[in-house]
Amino acid sequence: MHSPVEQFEIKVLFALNLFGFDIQFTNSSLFMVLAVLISSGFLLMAMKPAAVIPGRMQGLAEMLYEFVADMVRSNVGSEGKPYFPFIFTLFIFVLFSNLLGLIPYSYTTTSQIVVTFAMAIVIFMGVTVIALIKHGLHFFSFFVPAGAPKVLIPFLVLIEVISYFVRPVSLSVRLFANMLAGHTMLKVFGGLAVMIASAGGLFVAGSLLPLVAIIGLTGLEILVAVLQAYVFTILTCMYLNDALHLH
Amino acid sequence: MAEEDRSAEQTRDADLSKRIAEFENRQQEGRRHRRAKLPTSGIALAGRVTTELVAGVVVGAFIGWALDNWFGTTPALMVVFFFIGSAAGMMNVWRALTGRGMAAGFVGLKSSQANEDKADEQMSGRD
Repeated sequence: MHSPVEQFEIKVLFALNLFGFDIQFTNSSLFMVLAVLISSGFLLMAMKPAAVIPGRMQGLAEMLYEFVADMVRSNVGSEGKPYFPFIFTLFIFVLFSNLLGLIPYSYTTTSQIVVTFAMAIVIFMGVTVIALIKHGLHFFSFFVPAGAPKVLIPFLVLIEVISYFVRPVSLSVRLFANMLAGHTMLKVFGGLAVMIASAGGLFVAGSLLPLVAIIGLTGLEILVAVLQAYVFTILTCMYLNDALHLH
Repeated sequence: MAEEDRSAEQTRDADLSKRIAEFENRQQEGRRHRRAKLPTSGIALAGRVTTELVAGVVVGAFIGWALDNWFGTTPALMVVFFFIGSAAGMMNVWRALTGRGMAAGFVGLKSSQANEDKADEQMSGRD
């Protein structure tokens, strides 16, 4: 019997040694590459006809585009336009990684904290640099709460600074934990079905119960995959909005 | 003849300005509802609150631990920053639950509303 967390194991597919750097191509990297290839392939194929009246695929691609464009417009405003390509790429990558992971025998890249934290820290540093370039030293007024008593200000600034540094952690942990928990749960129910069935006799009928639960859970997991991609992107938009407008 | 032309022009003008006003109203309406909210359903919110709380404590303790290593004051700063981190986590939860978005700052509801209006004005000034 496989353990429920065995699915998250990193396996080296082939080891590369490039200019003295140890670069290993793992199953996680494979599915990252696949997510990029499939999403780019899908968008390129869908937009190939570029018809005025879109077909099914083109309609889907345009819906994705409109969805993200609307998110950027409503959360960041017109200054967000230059950052739209990045946010669109981010959304599509996270969405496709999450959904690819739901295919049996595949690997969920976003269930690795390293992957989500790398994305989050890039966003965090990028947003901070954008804010510093745009507002200069005025950026640090962001940490001074308005309307607080003077005595409390040093203490509150400390809290604000820490709550600012919490951002990349909570951003990455949310995505990672959701994917990890969901996939573990699926595997636990799957293992339960096999265990009950292996008892034989009447128990085989009883194993139908966890099987039905898996059907429901798979639906929930598809929802979570899309929802978490959405949450990850919209929080990026909010951070960007804070950086551009300060308040 | 000229008189008729002018009156026709006037009605067209009036018609046009009415349509412009309607369009602007519609735009205003759209702007009022523009801020897309984070999902506020039970599970999503619960997950959000949990991660904010845990992340606050973890980041606070980590910063304390790093400073301790730096200054050689183990474990004094770690304890202090553990509590400050918890406070930061709770503040983030409070912000998430009161719909203040992610904006830092201890802004009262009134001043945040004023800020929003100001942002709206700037927006309309630009377009």
